[in-house]
Amino acid sequence: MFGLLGPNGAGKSSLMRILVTLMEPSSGTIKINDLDITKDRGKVRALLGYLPQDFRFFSQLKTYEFLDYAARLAGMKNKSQRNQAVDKMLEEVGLYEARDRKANKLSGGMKRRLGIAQALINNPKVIVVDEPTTGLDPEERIRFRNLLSTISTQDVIIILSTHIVGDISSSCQSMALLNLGQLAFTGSPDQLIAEAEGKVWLIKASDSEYMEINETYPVISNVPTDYGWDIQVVAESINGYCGEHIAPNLEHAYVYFMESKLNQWTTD
Amino acid sequence: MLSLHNIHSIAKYEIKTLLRSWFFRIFAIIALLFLFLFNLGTLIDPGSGAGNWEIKALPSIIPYVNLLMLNVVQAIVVIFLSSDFLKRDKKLDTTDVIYVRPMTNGEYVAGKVWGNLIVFVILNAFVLSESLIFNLIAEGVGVNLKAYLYYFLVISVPTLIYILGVSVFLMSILRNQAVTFVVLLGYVALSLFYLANKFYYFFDYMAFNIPLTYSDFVGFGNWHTIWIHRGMYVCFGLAFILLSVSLLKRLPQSQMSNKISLVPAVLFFAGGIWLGFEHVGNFRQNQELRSQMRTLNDDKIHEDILTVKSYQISLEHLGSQIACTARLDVSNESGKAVDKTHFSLNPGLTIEKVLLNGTEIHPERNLHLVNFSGLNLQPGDSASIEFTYRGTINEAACYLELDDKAMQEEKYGQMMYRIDKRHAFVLPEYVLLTREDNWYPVPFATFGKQNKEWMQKQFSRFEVQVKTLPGLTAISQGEPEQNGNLFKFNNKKPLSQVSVIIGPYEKKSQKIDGLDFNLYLHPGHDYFSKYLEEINDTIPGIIAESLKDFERTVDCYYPFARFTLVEVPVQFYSYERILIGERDQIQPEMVFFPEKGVTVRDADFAGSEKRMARWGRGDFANMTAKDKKVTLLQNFLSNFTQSSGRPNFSRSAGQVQVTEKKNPTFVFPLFYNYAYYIKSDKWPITDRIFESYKKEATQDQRMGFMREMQGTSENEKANLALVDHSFAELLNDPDQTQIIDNVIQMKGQALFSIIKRKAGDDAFNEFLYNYLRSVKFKATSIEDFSLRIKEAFGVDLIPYMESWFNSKQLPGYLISNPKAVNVMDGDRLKTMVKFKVTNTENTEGIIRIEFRIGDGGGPGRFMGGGSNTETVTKLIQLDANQTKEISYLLDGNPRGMSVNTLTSRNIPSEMRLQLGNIEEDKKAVPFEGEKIVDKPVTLAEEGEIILDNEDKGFRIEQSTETSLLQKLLIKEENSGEKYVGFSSWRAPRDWRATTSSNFFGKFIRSAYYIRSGDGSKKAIWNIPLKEKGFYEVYAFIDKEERRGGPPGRGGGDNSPKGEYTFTIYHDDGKEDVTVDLNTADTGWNSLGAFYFSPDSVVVELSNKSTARLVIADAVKLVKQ
Repeated sequence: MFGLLGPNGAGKSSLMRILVTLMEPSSGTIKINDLDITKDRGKVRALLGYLPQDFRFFSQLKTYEFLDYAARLAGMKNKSQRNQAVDKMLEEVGLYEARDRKANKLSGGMKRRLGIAQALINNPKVIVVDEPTTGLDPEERIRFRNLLSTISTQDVIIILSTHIVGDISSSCQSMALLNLGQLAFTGSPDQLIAEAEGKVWLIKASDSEYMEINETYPVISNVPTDYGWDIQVVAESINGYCGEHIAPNLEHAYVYFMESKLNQWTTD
Repeated sequence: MLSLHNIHSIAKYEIKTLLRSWFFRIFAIIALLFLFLFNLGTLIDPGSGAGNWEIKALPSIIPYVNLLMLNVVQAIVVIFLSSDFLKRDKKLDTTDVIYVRPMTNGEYVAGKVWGNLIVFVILNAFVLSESLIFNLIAEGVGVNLKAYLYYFLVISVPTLIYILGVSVFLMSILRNQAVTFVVLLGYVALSLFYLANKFYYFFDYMAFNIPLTYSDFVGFGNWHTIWIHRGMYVCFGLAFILLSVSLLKRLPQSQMSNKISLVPAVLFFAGGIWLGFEHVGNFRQNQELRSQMRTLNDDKIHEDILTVKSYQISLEHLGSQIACTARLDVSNESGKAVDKTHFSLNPGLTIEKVLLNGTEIHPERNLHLVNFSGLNLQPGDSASIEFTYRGTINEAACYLELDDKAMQEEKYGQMMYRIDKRHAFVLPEYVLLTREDNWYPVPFATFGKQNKEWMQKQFSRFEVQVKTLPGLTAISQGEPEQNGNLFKFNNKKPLSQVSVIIGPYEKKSQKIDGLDFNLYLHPGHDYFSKYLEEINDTIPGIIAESLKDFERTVDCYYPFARFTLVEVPVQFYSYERILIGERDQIQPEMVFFPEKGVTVRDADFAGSEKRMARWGRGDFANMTAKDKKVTLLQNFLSNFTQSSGRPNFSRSAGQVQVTEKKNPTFVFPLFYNYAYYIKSDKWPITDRIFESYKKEATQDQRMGFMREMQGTSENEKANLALVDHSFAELLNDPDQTQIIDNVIQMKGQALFSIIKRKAGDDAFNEFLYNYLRSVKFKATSIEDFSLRIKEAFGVDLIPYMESWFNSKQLPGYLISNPKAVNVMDGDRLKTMVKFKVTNTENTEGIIRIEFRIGDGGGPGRFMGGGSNTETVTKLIQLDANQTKEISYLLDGNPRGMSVNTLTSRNIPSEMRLQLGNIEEDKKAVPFEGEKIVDKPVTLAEEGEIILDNEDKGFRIEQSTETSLLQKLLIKEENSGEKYVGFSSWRAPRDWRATTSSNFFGKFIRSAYYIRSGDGSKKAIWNIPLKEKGFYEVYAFIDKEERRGGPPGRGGGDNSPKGEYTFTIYHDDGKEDVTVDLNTADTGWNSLGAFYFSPDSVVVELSNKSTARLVIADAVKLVKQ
């Protein structure tokens, strides 16, 4: 599973749309399995599964019908095979019970699961998932992440685009950071975290220092305590404030990377 | 390669989605419900059980009308749904998951379109099943399953493909559903209401106007036109769909795939355009041919023609062709040597050989004309000419005297469906040929602007032999003789023309009153025998009686030995031929009756009985079952003896419009046109004048109410036209065809009145009767007639005819109020009616006075007789500027007097004058006769000043305030006619002129009338005054308000209520004077005396009244 992280407007969705042949790249080439996505669209499309960001359904179709529709278009011509595949997929994403329900009557999480099901049908080689967890409640989000992780164990590449760092940290082996349409980082999440090693501080600050720190450093969190504030910041040094290093996570690393490498982090 | 799997998948789910959408479901339910009610009403008819004959008669009509109605609505819904599918697809990322699938754009659009189509096919299947169920359960209605399929293919499929293509294409370009929808809806409305049948149905993509009635005899009969027209829309539809593929906002599968779809798109476009050209081209080509033929005919104007003494025609039916040999015995009766002459033969027939006296010659053929030269036939010489030819009939060559556009736009059909107009058939299963088709050579040119030969007739002996395809029956004039599939027809009497019909006929015949009555029907079309079984014994009597009645009416015997009624395909159509009075539905000894009488409501015996039981008068319900059938048969027979069909009533924006339809099966031509011919080279219309005179007696006098509705009768319009034009000019004016029939009739009346004045009515009629008998079945001439008139009555007609034909002057009459008293004439009490009449113009004229004497009831369609009314007719001739005092003595009580001014400036041309209460005058001296007097009839007496609404000084004030909504919704009828009809229950909202005998006026008795209102609309009389002083002011008031009501709906309280308020501006100010209509007199009513200075008299009448309407007519000042 490959994660694509970046702030809003970084061009994640555009890249996704180019990947799935919905948009034409203004320049450059992308190859999937040695197939050029601009020249061999037909073949590329046969390898793809796609779950777009804001995905709804044709209001009149039932869950299994929608999946059947996707399966047909994905090239499954044999009816019994298709029916088996659809049922299996519905079971895998836990929607078998809801197979006869109208697709647009499903809950947000169920819809997302149906979305991934239609992307997965007929074993695509590459699945592109755009901001899949936006708007889901934590339980559904975790469930969905787990689902993606399970799928990633199969012979398939999942490209996950998100601006939610947690989605990537919990499931991706490699990732890229996209900023202003440029690739800023590629590697594993651990590599990105390693870059932030020793750059994340927890400052115990008084009320009077609080404002100052917030104006000076990229702050990750402010937690009020009995004695004032516990403030997590990303910085090379903390210039006399009372604080200590803490072990960075992906979120810290992301902020550090954006701040120090790209000067993109803005303090409010 | 397109993947059918993908197309099928997309279509399948498109269908599911559409079928589940509420918009479609509601539409489908409404459509099914509406058509359910329609079929219930027209086929089952729970009210009376009668149903609609025009739908029931021909089984194919049922799917036809059902699909026509569905088609209009589905065309709109398709627009909505198909433009919706793109919108649906635009919804954010939903379509993306479909778009990333490995399918081509072509497959995607094809799937979508296919899905949409299937959904509508399903709907069509439902609708057709519904109508089929009704079709099956309706009583006495056949089922034509083929028609269900044909109409679906011809109406629905092309419409759906086309409108789908257009909507998807427009949506791809405009990318806005609302805009697309509005544009397309506008297009639908435009094509339905405006373009309709214009430009040869080119824009009729919904097939709403193109005639598609399917006959049991010949099917559509116009497959070629239908395929081209519908094929054109299929091509355009497919082209638009294919164009949409390349316009789809989805990256194509490969660089080439989108461009590939452009190739078939262009091909289909080209195909559509080619078919469009072909479609229009066919019509254009026909027009071109017609125009060329007319020109050629005019070139023949100076060539002499031969007389054909006899025809021996043998015709072989070869399927889609006929092969003929026609041997003509001709003679030269032109009085001079003939070297060059011409014959006409339909341009669709190719001449293979011509023999002149047994020797082959090669006359020049130019379209329809066969030009002979070097004949050297001396006066009285005879020759034989044999033509051998084969081919088919080009119907474009028929009816050349008619305007092409008017011909094309003349609607033929019932309710909403249209029937093709055909004049000939040459098909493997059916043949119909008439003289108009020129299927055999005739020695005339056809119509040309200058050439009047086409109006000529010759009577020749005909021997016709027909060889048909096996199983078919041939019908023609004459004594038939059959030998296998060879039919021979021998005619003892010369005929002016023959026709041939070949078809799968069943024959019924019976001798009635010495006449052979034959009925030829399509197998399975005898729907009436069983119904009429009960009165089988009386049928011959009823028919004979009906025939005798008609003979009495027209004062002519039926001239033929046979009467044959032939059922012909519904598409056979004959145009009215105003200048010769014939109609091709009537052939010598034959009447062509439209298939199952679909256009004749009285042909529905069983239905009519139910209808009359339900809606008719009480007397019908009380009849015995047999009597009912007799009545219905009589009603049916009246379809042959009435000159007019049922009048068409329509309400157009407040005014009732009545259009008189000529009855195409009116048998009069059998009694005159095909038996007599009075020739005149100088006045070719002469024969028609005689025909019109004989026909006049058949005219339904009850149509008078139409005049009240229309404002001016056709006769009056004819008079108005004759004020500015001579008869000769009007005959040549194509814009006057509407009134030419009336002009001919009136000019005929005027001509014959000259003889009648000298000879008397009865003597003239007897003379004419005997004269016509002596010239039956041969052509005679006006010179011959004139000679015989001169011998009998001493009147020389010919010198009079010159001015009768060319003069532009018309007489105009002033008639004083008649005075009637009872006087003792010897020992008998008689009624003496006296009046004065003045012809104020510089040309002489004749008027006809009619008195209705007795106490009879009114005429009624189902009553017949029962009236004791007798009509006394008198003619008065007036020289230019002559006044006569007239006095008549009448036996019996005259109920009214009508003055028919014939051709004159007077409107109404026929005035009904009241005689009032007639009392005995002991002092009066009985006198009958006319005296020429010096003092003319005047409108104003000494010292009176009258200002009529026709005079300068009268004006109307219309309020200009009309809301936009009013303008849009209530469009006032503005037909361009000066005088509108009078409708008391729906008077116009603005002052409009109308005419009536009861109004005041010199030649034109007119007034303005308006619906009562708020007083803002005024009629104003500005009366010029030379002398100051006291004057009594009078207003002319017509109290009668019930005129113009629908026929037969009189009764109720007709005494007028309400009041008129006049405002009089005099020297001491102004004064409102109210006239109570209840107590007012009809005629002049005093408004009081006032002092006026010169030039200052203004009288106003406002539309404020409690009466329903206000009439502004004339105002009179009388010096005190």
